[in-house]
Amino acid sequence: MKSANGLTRYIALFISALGIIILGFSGFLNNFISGALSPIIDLQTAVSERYSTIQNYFSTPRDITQLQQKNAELEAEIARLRGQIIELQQLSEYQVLAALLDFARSNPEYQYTGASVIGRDPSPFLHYIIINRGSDDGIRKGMPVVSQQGLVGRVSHVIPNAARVQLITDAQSKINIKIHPSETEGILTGSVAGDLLLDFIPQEATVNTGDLVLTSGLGGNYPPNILIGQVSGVRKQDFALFQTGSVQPVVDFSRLEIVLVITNFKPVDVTPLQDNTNP
Amino acid sequence: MLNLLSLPIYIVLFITQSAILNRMPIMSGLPDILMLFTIGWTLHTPKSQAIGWAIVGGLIMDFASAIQLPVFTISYVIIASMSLLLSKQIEQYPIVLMLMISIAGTIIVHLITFISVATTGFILSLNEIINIVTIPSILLNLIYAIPIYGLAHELKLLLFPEETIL
Repeated sequence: MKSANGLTRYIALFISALGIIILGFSGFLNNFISGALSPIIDLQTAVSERYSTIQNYFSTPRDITQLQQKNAELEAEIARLRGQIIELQQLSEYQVLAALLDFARSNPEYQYTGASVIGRDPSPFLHYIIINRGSDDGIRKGMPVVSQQGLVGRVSHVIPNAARVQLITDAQSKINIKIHPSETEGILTGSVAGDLLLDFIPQEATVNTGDLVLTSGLGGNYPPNILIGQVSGVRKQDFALFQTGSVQPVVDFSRLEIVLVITNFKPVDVTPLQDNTNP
Repeated sequence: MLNLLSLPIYIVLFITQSAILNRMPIMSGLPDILMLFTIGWTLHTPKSQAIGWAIVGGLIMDFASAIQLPVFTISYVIIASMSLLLSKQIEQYPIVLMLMISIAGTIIVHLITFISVATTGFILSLNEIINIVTIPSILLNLIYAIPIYGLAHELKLLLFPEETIL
């Protein structure tokens, strides 16, 4: 009798869990979840900010090793600023072209919404962050996310007061890029290790270590000319169709605290144009 | 009633993990203190409570994670069941059992995650995962296992003071 009661309890638990999962995935619990999550997100924001403060205190340079590291960081900053100069030059070129093509009414400046990084995806297989801005703040799925250094990722899931952002280092992230100064186009993918890998670079293209990697805007998922990083290695094999390589991102993903969501960029959904029929 | 109490405990653990511990990885490995607490709690608590708490912990993780399927709920229920089964066989060395199940649990979570990701059509390199995700995660979980075991022990004393301590 007792074991029958135990079995009934387990079945009830299983059915309840299954019900919650189905309701959650189908979106019926959204209102309940947003209300219930508000204090939790506030608490997580507070914990995250306090932790960042403590981390910053302990990571302030105090000895020669740290000063050397700081020096390396400043050198990286110089490289970044050089990239920014090129980026700004490109922007002015873009403005001229936009005027020529009668895109004068389009505003090349993006609108940003600042957000704090309050958490990271619990699974080590995925590279996602959680930010404390959601649909109540105008955040929508697909919006690009940047930091003061460069591209961070894009919004993959939104609830009223928080959002999940897929980082460009995530293994399932794919971005159309161009390499400056050769203006070669290619694809940038993430990996489980968080490395950025270049692919689909034509064999005849000249790509060197240190070249800048920017978004190309192709595919409509990201705006063009956002800095991603610098080429850190190129692999060219005679028998391969394309060159491959690796990229050193300008954003330090391990220390992300504040990000900016570009709220006036609408990603283009090209799914209906893709041919999914098998030959 | 006690199952309801699991909710705030797991939420606090989740916030600690997501906001603090996940910023201190080893390579690409991350700790899973909700899994560790589930194991620790299962080794201490009455059998009737264990699976319920595992489900609550799993649901919180699945809600926060971008993984498509309820990987954590399934994994935690398997891990809690395994803990229940083994705790009956090896009662004398609960801390050793905690460490052993932590290792096995990490492998179970990663295996189910790997299958889940593969079902979405994305194949990850198994070799890469073992070397840079699973082994560092096991190491981190072993580091956190003893303090979490202590936490579960203290909580058990608080909630079930009349019962014999394992």
